[in-house]
Amino acid sequence: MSVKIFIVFLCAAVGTGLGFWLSRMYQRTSKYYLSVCELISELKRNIACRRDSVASVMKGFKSNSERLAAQISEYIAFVSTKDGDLKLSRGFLSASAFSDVNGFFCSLGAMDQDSQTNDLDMYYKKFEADYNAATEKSKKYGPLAIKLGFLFGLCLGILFL
Amino acid sequence: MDELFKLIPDRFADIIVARLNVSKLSEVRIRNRLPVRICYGGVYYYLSVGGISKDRQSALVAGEKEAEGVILRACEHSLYTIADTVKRGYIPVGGGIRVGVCGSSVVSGEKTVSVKDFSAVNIRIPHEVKGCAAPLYYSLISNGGINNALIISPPGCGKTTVLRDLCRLVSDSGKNVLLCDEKYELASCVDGVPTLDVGCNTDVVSGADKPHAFTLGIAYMRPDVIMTDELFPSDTGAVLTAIHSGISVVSTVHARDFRDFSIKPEFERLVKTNAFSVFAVLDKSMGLKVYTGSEAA
Repeated sequence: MSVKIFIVFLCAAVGTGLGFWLSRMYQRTSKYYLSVCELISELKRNIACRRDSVASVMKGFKSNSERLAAQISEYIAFVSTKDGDLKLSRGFLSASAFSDVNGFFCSLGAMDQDSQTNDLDMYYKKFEADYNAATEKSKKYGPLAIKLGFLFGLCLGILFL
Repeated sequence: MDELFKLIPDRFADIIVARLNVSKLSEVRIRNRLPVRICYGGVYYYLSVGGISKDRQSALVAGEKEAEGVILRACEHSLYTIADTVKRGYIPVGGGIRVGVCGSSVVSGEKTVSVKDFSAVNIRIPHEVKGCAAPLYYSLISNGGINNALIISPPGCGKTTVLRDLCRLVSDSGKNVLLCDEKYELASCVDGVPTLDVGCNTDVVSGADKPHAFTLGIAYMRPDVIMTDELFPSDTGAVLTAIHSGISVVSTVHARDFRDFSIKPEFERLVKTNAFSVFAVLDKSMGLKVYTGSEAA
């Protein structure tokens, strides 16, 4: 009997874990867009006052998203090499989201102060909307995924018996 | 020299490192699709696989967008950091290196809005020659003060090198020097620290135009001497204000000799008021010659 209870418990735990993982996936996207918005704000602040290079602003920026941190490293590496094009890794981003992010990174440093600030404003609005959508999705489906995961695991455990 | 090698393509940098004495290099000229030229030991050569050559056929040729590549590297791919200076024709780089820029100007009315389609760059490498301004320094001292002086020379004869060394000598003698480094090539400050030796009592104002730097300096820094490079007609008022405020001014100007300088109508006020009492004329063949105001006239 205790073995059966253990199997049910194990299946429920695995299901809940899967639910958590799915929930984290939703949060990851939301966190990514939030970090991008923070980076844009930091760039705008710096351009308005200190006008440091994009790479030096990025070097001092602490990203909460691992994906963005990786892309920042790729950008810094591109700036410090003499030849070649900017190649960012896509990671978990969808094709259209990656295209936007790629466009954002390529636009950095390619224009004068006013144009750059306007461009950053445009990207900020875009990514803020993406952040809001991702957050809403995360709030909606995150807890649901955990609950469904638990139920799925529980059902599977009962079926095993 | 690291700054120079960060700017130019590796295929040029590798040859310079392997074949040439880098300390003799004073200019690298890169023009799109044309042979690369360098000023080496004061003489122009083409950069070739073997090092330097007078023969154009053996010269290394720059790529289609080589000038743009140099500019992007100079600003770490952040054009907004240099947009203002590019409009004035140059980019300041660390270590006192100045990149002269040529391209197509985008003009709106009388104002240059931006520069596009970069066609050529001239990378000028500074040299510190300690002691080169000593003859001028000794003729400037008078009753414990410093006379107002003007260093006159055509481009490329070493005005900036002499002025930098003079600044070091005056500063190290205990005078408070305000150095207006408009083009970042005299002190070449990086993170607020001069990368070239301009003396231990020198306050550096980088990037600001001379009227602004002079006003700020006179009001708040109490300098004994103000030093600045390349006087323009718009700077005349600021120079006279400083001199009439009891502050010595040492500057440089583009001209062949004193006569050449004095016939320029834009500097008439400076000549008429005898603003400068010592003139140093720099010439590639003659070196540094120092005159008092009456001798120069």
